[in-house]
Amino acid sequence: MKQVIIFTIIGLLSAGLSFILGNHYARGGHIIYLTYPNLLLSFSLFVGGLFFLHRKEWNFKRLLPQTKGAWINVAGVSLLLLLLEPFEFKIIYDEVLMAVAAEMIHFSRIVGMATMANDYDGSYQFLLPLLEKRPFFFPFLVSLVHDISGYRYSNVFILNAILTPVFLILLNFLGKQFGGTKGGILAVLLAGTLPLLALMASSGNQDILNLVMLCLALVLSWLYLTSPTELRLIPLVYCLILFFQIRYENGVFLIPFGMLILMGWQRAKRPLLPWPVLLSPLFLILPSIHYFIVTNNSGRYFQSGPGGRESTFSIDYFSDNVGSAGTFLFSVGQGLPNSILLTMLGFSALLLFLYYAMVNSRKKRTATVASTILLFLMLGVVLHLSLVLLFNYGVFDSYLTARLSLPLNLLFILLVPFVYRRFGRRAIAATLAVSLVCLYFVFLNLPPEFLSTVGLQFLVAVMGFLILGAAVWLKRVPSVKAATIACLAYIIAIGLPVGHAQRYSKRANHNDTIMGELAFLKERENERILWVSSTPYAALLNQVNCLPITYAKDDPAKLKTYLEEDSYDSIYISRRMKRSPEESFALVDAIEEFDTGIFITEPVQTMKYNMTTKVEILRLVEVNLQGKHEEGK
Amino acid sequence: MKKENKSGLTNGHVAGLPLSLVLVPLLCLTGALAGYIIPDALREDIITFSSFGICLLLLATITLFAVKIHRVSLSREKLGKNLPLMAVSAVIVFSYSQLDHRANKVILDELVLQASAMQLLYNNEYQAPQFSHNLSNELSLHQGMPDKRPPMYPVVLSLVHRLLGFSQGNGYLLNAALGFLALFFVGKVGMQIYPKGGGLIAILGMASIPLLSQNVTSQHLELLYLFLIACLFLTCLRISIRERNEELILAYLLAAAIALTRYEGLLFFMVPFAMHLLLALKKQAVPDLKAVYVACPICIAYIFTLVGYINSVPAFWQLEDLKNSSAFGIHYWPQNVGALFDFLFEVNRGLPGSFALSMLCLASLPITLLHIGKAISRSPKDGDALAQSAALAAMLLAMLLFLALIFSYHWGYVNSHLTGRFLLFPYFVMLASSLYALRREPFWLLSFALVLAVLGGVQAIFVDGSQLGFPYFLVLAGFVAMAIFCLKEDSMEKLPQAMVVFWVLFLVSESFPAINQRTYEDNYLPIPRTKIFIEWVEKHSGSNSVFISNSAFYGMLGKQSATTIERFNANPQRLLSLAGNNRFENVFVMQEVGRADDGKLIPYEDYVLRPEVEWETVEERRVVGDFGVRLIRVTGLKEAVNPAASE
Repeated sequence: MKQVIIFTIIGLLSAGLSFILGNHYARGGHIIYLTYPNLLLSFSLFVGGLFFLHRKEWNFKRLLPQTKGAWINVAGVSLLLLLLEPFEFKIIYDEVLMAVAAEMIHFSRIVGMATMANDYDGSYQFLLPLLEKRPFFFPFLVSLVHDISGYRYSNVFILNAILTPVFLILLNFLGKQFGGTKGGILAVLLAGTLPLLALMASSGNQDILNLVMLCLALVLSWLYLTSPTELRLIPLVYCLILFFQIRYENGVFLIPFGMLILMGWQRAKRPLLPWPVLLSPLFLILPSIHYFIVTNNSGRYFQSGPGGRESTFSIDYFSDNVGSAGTFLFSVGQGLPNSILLTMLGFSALLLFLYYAMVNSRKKRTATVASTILLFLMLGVVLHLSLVLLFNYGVFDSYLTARLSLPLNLLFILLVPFVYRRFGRRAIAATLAVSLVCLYFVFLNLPPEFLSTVGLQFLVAVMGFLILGAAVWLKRVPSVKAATIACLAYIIAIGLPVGHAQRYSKRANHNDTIMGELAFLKERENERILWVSSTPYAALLNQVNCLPITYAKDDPAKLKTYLEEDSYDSIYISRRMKRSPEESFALVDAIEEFDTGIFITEPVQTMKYNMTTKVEILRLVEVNLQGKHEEGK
Repeated sequence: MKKENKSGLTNGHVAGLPLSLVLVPLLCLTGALAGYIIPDALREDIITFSSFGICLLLLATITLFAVKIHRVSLSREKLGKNLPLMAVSAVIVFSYSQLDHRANKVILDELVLQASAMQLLYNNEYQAPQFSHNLSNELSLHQGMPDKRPPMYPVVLSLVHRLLGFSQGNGYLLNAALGFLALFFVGKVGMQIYPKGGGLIAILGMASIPLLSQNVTSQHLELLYLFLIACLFLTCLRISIRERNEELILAYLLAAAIALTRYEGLLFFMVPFAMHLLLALKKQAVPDLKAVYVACPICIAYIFTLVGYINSVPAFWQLEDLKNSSAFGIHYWPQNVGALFDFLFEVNRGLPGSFALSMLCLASLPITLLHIGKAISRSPKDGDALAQSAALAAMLLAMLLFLALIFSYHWGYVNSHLTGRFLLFPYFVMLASSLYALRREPFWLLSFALVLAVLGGVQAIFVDGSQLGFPYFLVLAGFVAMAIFCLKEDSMEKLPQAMVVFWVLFLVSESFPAINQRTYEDNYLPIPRTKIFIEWVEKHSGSNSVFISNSAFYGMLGKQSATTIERFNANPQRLLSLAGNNRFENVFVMQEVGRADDGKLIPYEDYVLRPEVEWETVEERRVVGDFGVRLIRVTGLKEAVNPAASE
């Protein structure tokens, strides 16, 4: 009891401190300097917790696939997810900003975004760091890779390439717990049908880590509920603390997992509060303060959403966002990186699972560990969706934000083996019924030109799937096996061709400007460059000297000195341009406008990315201060 | 008087002492005398022609004895035991290779060593050539003179060249291999001193010094030196603790190899001698030392010949560089001792030290000395206590003498990029001392270290005015946590694990990023300068050009014609007439330059050409701050001076 009181006091104190400091006293600087130690300590406790659990209670070798088939499946799907898309930054700014944050953590142990940097004294130094809005666990992990293997921005892709098979191994384990050995194989194959995962696995984004940590939390929950002990609780708690520091909205998952922990206490018939758990609320203070600082300055940190959505959260967005979610989940063809097969199997599994839960509760049967965990996961996903659907960027049918659907897709992936194992052929029937209803609506809304463009291949695949389903039903093939065959067929018919063509990346080229700048600098890695831009990220990632364009405009004399003294081989100015309604290209940001009388430049390269966007790179040839004086006069 | 027992150990005695105990110093002193009295005129030739043979014979003898001694004990089971240490050492060396940059890091030292190795490869002579040319279609090296450093490292490097073919990258490969071996042997030493996890703690602690990474990714001799010292230390520990008396021969031979790597390595003869004395005190059999009687006096005679030769060439002491009047003197002590403390108490990344290790090392010294003192005072009754401490005591004594020598040396200020490397060996011995103290007085060790760390922080804030970063607080928290571990007996058992966790955290969160960032190399021109000069030589290597700079090694190591600015300035017409006769396409000069207040680039003193030389700029690069480098092409001589033109 004493421990519960202490825990409550620490919890309340942490919450109070977070609220008071976050809203009144804390500044970005505090977060910038204290986040790394906070993360290092909580990560060390998490790893230590896993280590002791492995040594004393549960060998983690059991997480690995136990059959050759399962290994081949994991390896095959890993390759599928990793090889079908190019390794590059996919989401504009988000990934690049996190990569820069990781670079800063690695070199200086402060978390933030440098506005400029130089190597005037020899080593590359970051200047004027600002607080970044995103939580820092992912940049922290990337910085760990830098720590061990040396800095190169591409380490972020290496990390995701490592995390992808880890995610699939966890998925295999969970699938096995929910649906037997074949359930594990099915879960991994289902993940293979989702092109969105391939996009994320080959990107610099944190979403694969998000899935890994969520799966790990589920595995640890399973261990904990099976036999609640202190040793099993510690890694679970720290897993959740770190999970919260990947994406803010993950905070909603703390509610169902908190309930799950209490349930464990009930099963153990005593509160389990070892000292690392007692202290755990303290590790949430900093991320909470960070969150408060960001939300209190939402104007600075959040952009307005699509269609001029000004406020960050609003109930008004709900209906549109639900529509966009429907569009994404039921999209056919190659427009969006969804998996219609997963959607159909998932929705049918969801209905059957609810039915299963209802029947069980009516009959007052004790819930199994697997169903309890799935129920809590479902609760978490529902809360997550409720939050996301109120968010101004909560549209699933956009290339930028489709990844917000990943927790829902994970729920689908895990529900299917569970339900298929328990409902047998009835599950197939339910899936076919749900599929037919869904397909009716899908085809009702399809534009007529669909069939002539990309739909034919898809239509063949869907028909094949339906025929296969019917055949399976008639021939009494085991349901899990049937679903597995369907997944394989789907991957071969749709996943592979679509992935091979890399259509999503080609179509959505939001980040090509950054990739273009990175390539430009890579080509000139032996040149001593000063990069002048309002978005210095490419320069920061390549450890190139950079200066915000506003600084250059304010102090042209400095640039003149650089030119006169040959301080740099070249001074490049990079500017982004967009085609205006009047059909001429105009600067995206007016801040990049400079006086051509003072700054004499010559064009070096223009990178056009589509009909509307281009990046213009100029070389500074001369600075005419006379022009400035005249202007002054 | 002499009788041989079954194990081949001899037991001859003179006045109660083993005969060998008298013979070894006597023969060594004879060797020293022989080296001392050799006429000056012969010294250069002796060094030039005997270095390769002496080093090779010594290496072969060490290898033969090592194989002979360890052949019996080598087994798969033993290899399995050593595998974790090997794996950790390999991972650390791999990480260094990824985090650090491969470069020549100490002005011209590494280039001299490489040029000497090149000469050894081509001619078996120990000389650093002064110029080279390709006029006869193959590279000819000319007018060399032996370097002041003993030849062991260049000989080993030349052996690598013999295996792989000459390449400027072979030194990096050699140092990576030596780094791995040195770390592994440091781990083995750690295991002997602190059997419960000491190996891992020693490797991680040593790896936390960015200085080590700097050397692993350079082509300097320090790693060979460290590796040989670690071997010697391990051998002595095996003699004193495990009573492997037959290894005394190996210990003497290793001491000779150390002396042939650095001449102050002569000090290390005292270490095997201390073991020899220990065996005598314990009245144990001493092995047959015939090989030692031959090898050690020869090596010592060689070193004394070399020292005599160095003394005959005043330029070797580089007194001009620091504007000092003498190479050694007691008056250098205050500055050099201060520099050592600057290095050890550096809390940020200004110097390539390891703050955590420095604090533990310093804190361990009084504890270790106290315990060694106790062991010596109890020695007649308690022989085991002395045996446990004897090797460490000898090493500590060698370290103190080494430091005393360094403190008296005009280049002995170790808070500089050039000379910090002198501390690798003291760090290693102090690390061993900290493990020794950790085994005996863990609480006091950690408490002293904590107090020192706090003092370091106070000094950083109030004296240096610098900020304390996260790693400093990690060190404090680590020491506090581990000291708390020591308070309870049951948790005390977990101290080695806690220590390993601490070092891993420190390594990953401080040392590795510091190595990757290298702020301690800031404002230091020679590293980027050398890189760029080598790059320019490579870039223009197809054009049959002459490369001139403050040293000829940049061009020479790229197998190009090369000479020094000094030689060129002495007679520019000669080279330019060769160029005029199309024997050379270009005459390039590579200069280090600084920007004057008027914005003009001014070459440094060593890079100034005669005023009558006409030239044009090929390439300029700013490197650090207002300093940069410049590649110029000599186009001719002004008319008044050019005899060809005046004709």
